[in-house]
Amino acid sequence: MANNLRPFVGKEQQFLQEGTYGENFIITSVDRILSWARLSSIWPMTFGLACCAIEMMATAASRYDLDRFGAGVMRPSPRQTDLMIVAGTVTLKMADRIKRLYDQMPEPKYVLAMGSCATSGGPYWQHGYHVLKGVDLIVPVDVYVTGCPPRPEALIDGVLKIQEKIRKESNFARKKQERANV
Amino acid sequence: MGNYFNNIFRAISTIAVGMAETWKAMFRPPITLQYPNERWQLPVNARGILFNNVDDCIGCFKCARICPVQCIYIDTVKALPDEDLGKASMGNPIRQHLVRFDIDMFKCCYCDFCTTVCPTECLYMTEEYENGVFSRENGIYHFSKYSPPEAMALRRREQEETMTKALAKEAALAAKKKAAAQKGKETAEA
Repeated sequence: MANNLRPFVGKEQQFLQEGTYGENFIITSVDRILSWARLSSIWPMTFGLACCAIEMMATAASRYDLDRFGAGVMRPSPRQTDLMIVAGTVTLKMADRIKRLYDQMPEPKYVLAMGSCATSGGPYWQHGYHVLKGVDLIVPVDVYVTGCPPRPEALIDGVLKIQEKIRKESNFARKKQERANV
Repeated sequence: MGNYFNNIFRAISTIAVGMAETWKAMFRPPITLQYPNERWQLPVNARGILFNNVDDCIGCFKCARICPVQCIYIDTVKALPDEDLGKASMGNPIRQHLVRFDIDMFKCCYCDFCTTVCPTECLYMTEEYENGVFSRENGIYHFSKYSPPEAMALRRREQEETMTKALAKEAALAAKKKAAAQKGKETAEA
């Protein structure tokens, strides 16, 4: 395939120090290769709340194809997911459930707030008596994608930003942090 | 018996119809957009992130007033009488300093009302749409051309101005009252 159609090859090669000691030869740290494995298979949860979910479906479909980034496996259970895409208006009734779903996810977990409603309450931020004013009030959000709704490209951009975040993280430092939290 | 063979024939023929569709799709070029490398040519009226060209903005508050979610925050300071801030590109005179022009893109619902009412056409929607950010503060776009200390100085200037004006008014009122009282006294004496 032409090189311009594989945008992240160069980045991955740099990340894993491929080609430093010759062709087809990788010298890297365990930490980095774990990060690389994690970022190339972010499984999101099937979790649509409102109209943004339609854009999320479009993103996962063949035209935009979220699976190119390893993030197309929408799992129906929170136990199998790494990423929660909160796509849509979070009502107060749903907020409890979102918190529970977030708690049920296994630990290296990320949250992407998609659209105006999930990031800040959106059109309901002022007079919405039934809407949570931003999902970051109940779960820690890693990346906010704005738009009403965002274009599928914007959602892909958000997923790429989460990948950037994972790339910068150290797994072992994270484990230590988790143990300290417990 | 005839029904049995009819069923078999129908099974084969319907599968053939479906497979023909799949076979056709095999030779179609892939429709996937290779997003970070390729992009759509967006239509002319596509709505993206708002941008304000502050050099043209006259601080008329029209966008902030019409915004249905009130996500545009504007603060202005009146220019002094001898201060000339120039004109906007469409000829409207600029009469106030725009010390704050913030748009909270998290709350924006992309209705395009603000750009319609803008008299100088300085507020418009760009074709940018990738605005994923890592924190909530970064969703607020600041457009003012004054730095925070400059804006603070301008605000203080306005405060002082109003204060001196109020003091002068009070003094004038007091003087008037005093004069009236004196006049009343004089008349009473007379």
